[in-house]
Amino acid sequence: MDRRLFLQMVGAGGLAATSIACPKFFGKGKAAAAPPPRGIPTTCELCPNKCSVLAMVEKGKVHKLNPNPENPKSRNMLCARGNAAIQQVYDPDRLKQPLIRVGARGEGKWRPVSWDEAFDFAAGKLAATKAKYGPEGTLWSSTEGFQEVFFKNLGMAFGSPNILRHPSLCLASVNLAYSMTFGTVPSFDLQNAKYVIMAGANRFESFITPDTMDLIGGVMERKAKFVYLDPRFTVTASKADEWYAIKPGTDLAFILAMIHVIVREERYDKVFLDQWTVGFDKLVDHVAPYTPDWAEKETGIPSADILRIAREFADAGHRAVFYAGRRSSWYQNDFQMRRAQAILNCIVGNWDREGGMVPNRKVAKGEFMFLPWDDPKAPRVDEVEKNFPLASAKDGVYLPLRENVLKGVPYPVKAWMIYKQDPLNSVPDQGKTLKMMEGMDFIGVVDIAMSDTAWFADVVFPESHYLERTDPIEVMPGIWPAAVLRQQVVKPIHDTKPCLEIAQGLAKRLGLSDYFDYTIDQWVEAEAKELPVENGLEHMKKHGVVAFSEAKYGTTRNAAQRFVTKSGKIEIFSERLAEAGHDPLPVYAPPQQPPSGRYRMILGRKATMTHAALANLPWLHEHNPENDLWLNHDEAARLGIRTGDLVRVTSTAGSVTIKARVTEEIRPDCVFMLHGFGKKSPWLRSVYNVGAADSVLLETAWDKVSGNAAMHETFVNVVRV
Amino acid sequence: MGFRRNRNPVPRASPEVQDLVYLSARPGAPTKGMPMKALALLTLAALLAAPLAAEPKGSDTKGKFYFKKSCKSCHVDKGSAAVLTPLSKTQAQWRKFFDAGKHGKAGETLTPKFGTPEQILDIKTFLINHASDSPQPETCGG
Repeated sequence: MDRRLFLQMVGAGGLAATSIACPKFFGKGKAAAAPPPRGIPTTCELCPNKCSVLAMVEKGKVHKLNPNPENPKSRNMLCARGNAAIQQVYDPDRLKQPLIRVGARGEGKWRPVSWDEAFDFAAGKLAATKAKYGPEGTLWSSTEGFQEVFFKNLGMAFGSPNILRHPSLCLASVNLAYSMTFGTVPSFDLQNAKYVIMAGANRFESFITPDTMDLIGGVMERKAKFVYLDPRFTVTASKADEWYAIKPGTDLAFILAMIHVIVREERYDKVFLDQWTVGFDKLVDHVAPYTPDWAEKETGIPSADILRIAREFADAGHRAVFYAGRRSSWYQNDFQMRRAQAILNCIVGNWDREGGMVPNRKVAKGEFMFLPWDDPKAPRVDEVEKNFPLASAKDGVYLPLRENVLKGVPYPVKAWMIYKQDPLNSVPDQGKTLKMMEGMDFIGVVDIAMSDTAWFADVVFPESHYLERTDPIEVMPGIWPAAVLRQQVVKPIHDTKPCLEIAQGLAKRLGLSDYFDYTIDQWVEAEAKELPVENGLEHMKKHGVVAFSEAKYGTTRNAAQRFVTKSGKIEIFSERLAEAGHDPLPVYAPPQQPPSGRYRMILGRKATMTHAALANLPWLHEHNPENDLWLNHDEAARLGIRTGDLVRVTSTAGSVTIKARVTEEIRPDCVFMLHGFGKKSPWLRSVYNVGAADSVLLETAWDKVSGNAAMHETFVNVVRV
Repeated sequence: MGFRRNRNPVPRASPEVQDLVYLSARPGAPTKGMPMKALALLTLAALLAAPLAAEPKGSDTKGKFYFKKSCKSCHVDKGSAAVLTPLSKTQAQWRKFFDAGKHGKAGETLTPKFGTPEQILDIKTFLINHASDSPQPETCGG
């Protein structure tokens, strides 16, 4: 199916459904259809948005998933991925029982074993590692999920300081930049914004979630102005009022020039700045050299356009947002680029206003009190406290960690437990990750499918699918905050277990049972007790969600407000950054340009995939059966390459062969590749050896402040095979 | 964003050093030499400030647990006392509270009613590490 047609289908379906159940969100009430039969309420797991779902079950089998209109945050929609969750449950390639490797790593020889044998085997290896190297000799890495807490807790109870979460492959630079400025990471009120600028996040194509629908509603229905920057002509570019093929790595120059114009012409919100912020006086001098003429030379965007966009943005005032979007870090200055975004938003006074940036509200919930363990005795192997003192020490920094593990400093790490994550595809430089795996005495993976990383593991623990288990209640902060329950819809169809029971099985053999002496029902019951609704547990089982449907604006605009920053104010100038040796205001440095004959590799993904996952599911795979290499038509002509030709793409990290797509929809200095293909695991039959994996090519680079992986710092050459 | 832990508080530099760093960081300003000088001064300032910023040595992890168990039994939404999280005070305010060692208007001592001396130290560690002006602020679940 054509990608635009797919978007139209998703968009039209979402809007129509929304207008029936929640007409106020889009203001277009239509005649209500007969309500569908109600299913079992639960919560989707196929992306970080966690939409509320009604599962329709017949004879013990899920046959349809519908959106749950009771959660305003979900906008009564369920995207393509959400619908395809059914295929995940009944996927013939799914992991069906515990497996222990019998051949060489990656050879694909497995022995199906009982849970007891798998637990005994893994616990024995972990205990042996602990005896030889201490608990810090183990690494516990995971990606987000409602049961991730149990996996992390097992690692911490075991005594390891090396709990490694996904943000440094994702949004760590965004989160840190907004936190350093506002003391929190706000939401963007896209439903009510009148002027939206977005740089590269490609929200109309790569991530179709409820806030995408707000953006589509804003742009297409309310005629909000939408300006988009991207070196590539994406679906999002096609829907924008203005698209600029900005020179890669120069977003910061564009933003600084906008700030320059708004400051020079005094179009900022003076009352807001005086009352709530510190450091604006320093900003005035700081941005003086960053003129639109200067920015034109850096970005390739005409000076007159930068000037006009800055004026339009300021004129839209508190309903103008430079939207952070959802995308990973691309350059080593990503944190400072995000800081500049935050400052630009700040000076037009859109903080905590309708149509602007809104601090997230939460829904109160209770907490299950489990026995606490001792703090780890060793420092983290990634040395995050020393080298990235402002970054989240609890999440760690992935790439610096891998560098240290490969070097064996400050101490050896010899066992790796992995939950719900595929580092071979999600972490740049697959060759290095494979080398890191080779150095491990033990690798254990918990997942629902045989990912590439699982394929190289020693033991694989099959997790029950989200429709087969009950998870902790999760609070989803936001403008429309919600607390959601994921409850079991059908019994596990294979010999699988939820992550909690996997953690308990290992804990029992590691002498850590006291820390896991509870059931999921006890955990959920404790959480439900403090929900802002009567009979919380009963309510959640019946409705799946407690949510606030009315937005609240201006709650932090009161005289007593102390922002969670060092000064207690919104920090345009950051003392804390200066103290850590970083620029206290964003400073621009031109990005390195690809040498002659090489191209900057940029990457992205589709709304049918989450990170590198889900491409194996038939309903999703048919939309994107294979990735290819986008190459500008002028460059292709010079190289003698035509669409469909096989080309060899090479960086200093690795080399892949992939089909070429010759197009005018990308700058001549870039090539593009879709994320999530070229899998090594034959158990992902649709994408096994299909296309190429970007992680093979990506070189190791990270943002200097947050440690976030910088995904667009790789140059490649391209030759026809 | 996710919760963050402060194991390595960043000491505050003097205003003079901050200005120097700021000036060196501007476009058009010298990009070589000046930052090194600024960094050298910053390092000196950090070394001088470090002893003043010494934090309590209790357990952060256990402090969170005991805070929830002892304090949050009352200091919650619709509880018998005002909602309290680490963000409710600055690091200096938390230090002052624990230095005084008195609770509420009645001025009860913290030990033994709210925990052993070791547990109170853990709570103090957790609250100061994650106070509203700390480098790793934390809400403790609201």
